[in-house]
Amino acid sequence: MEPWGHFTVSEYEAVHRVVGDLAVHLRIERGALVVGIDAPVGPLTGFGPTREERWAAPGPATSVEVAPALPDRPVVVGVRNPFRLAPGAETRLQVHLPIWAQVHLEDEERTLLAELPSAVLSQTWWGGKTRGELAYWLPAEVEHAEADIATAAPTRAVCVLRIANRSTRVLEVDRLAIRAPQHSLFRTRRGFVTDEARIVYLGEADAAVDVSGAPPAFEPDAPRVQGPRLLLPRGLRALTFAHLRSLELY
Amino acid sequence: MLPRLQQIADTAQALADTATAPLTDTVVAVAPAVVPTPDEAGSLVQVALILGLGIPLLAWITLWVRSVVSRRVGPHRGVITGKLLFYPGLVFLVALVMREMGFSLTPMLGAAGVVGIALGFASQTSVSNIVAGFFLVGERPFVVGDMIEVGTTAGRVLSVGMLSVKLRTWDNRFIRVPNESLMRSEVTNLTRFPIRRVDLVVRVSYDADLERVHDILLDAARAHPSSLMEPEPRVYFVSFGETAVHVKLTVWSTQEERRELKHSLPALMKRKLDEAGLPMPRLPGVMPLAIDAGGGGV
Repeated sequence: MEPWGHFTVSEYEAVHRVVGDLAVHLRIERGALVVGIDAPVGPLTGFGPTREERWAAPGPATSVEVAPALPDRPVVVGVRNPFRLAPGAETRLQVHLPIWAQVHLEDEERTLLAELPSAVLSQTWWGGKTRGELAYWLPAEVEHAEADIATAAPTRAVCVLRIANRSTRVLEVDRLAIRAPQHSLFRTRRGFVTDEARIVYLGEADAAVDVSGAPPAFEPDAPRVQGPRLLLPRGLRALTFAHLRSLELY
Repeated sequence: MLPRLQQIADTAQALADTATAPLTDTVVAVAPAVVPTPDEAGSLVQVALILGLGIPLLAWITLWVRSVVSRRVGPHRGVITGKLLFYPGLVFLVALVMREMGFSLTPMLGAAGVVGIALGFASQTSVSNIVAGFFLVGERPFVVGDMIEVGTTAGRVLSVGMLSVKLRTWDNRFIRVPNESLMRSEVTNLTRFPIRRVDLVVRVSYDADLERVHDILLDAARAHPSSLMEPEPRVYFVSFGETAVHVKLTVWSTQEERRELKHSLPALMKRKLDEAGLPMPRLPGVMPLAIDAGGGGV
């Protein structure tokens, strides 16, 4: 069952939605809206069994929305099936990204009450030891799919990347940074799909990235459920492959 | 001095002489009315203008330059640039005012030279601090907000001044470190880079399978939510000790989560080793698990 939708929380009606590995529950208790997140018990700290926050409830019955969103940081894919791209070659990849759930109050400001991932991902560092950025680590297989898009699980989004090697050297792809905060999320008949990113590898430490912002070609009318969290400046050089880590990030 | 001022001074002297004269000699002296001439009135207006407009203008320019430099280069450079602009500007305004009042600056500069030499001898330390302050600003080993370690003192930098650097220690003490001391000492900036490594040394029984220990320690590091997958955690052999084999686990984390990692990972490692039937050997009076802070204990 999909966790997404609009719900009413009252003293008599609690809401409990399972989002992948985690769950969110909302209830009104003595005039306060209690938002709780259940997570798998972690090694010692960090992920507790339940984390609760109390909000002043706007009324005896409160409308909330549980909406899908892309991760709030870049996702570094540790490619389980690494591959090489010959000079001049081009490939189209698909990666299944875990979706985040955002719980909003249905007020004018659409206040964000909570945000939780559908899968607990480890943290990783993308860049050099003196400069870089915090990212999520996702060990995953990439699918080479020229035309079709696979059907995604309810809490996963298919991210399509088109990689072109315009350099004179062979490009080895074993790590791949997906700029999730700069992608948009669309709901299609085959599940959630992000807009396509085109990455052109130009040589030693140079790559150009362009995120289309458009719905997938197979369903151009697909509704956008989330816009980019961060805007990607056009024509900026990107840090996408593992050996380009000294580059400034986009 | 202006002739009119000289005339007023003469009159005052005459009145003083009258006051000390014998009572039998009645001297009637009539003090002339002190009315400024048009030249003097003009000078007074100019002085008022210099002070009334010059100081606020100087303050405004200083604040503007300070905010621009702070935004572009950093807050501590902004503060120092502001001071470098304000104080010479103030001296210039005072010199202008004195010139308008009829004082000759040449003898004053001579006197200032003598006073300067005397002050120079008396304030060698302050001057060396100021010079050191310039080097600190130029070299920029740390900025406001960084955590630094100087000798046995460690804390967060609150301000970088011309004479000293102010720190707030972990236990909330305020410490003033003279710039000269900073120039002479080794300064460690604990937060210069976004990620840091935590090193943990573990004593392992000679009976234990070291490859298994290696895998368990790496599993523990990867399972901790504050550790980073890359740079990868690693396990190194350190030495064959008298009673145990010493191995070192190195794990990376962000600056923000380093303390959490450093304090909770040892417990996780111990639990995993215990679960695997590889307890760390005990020695009376010896800590079974030692933590090497890995470049600063904070």
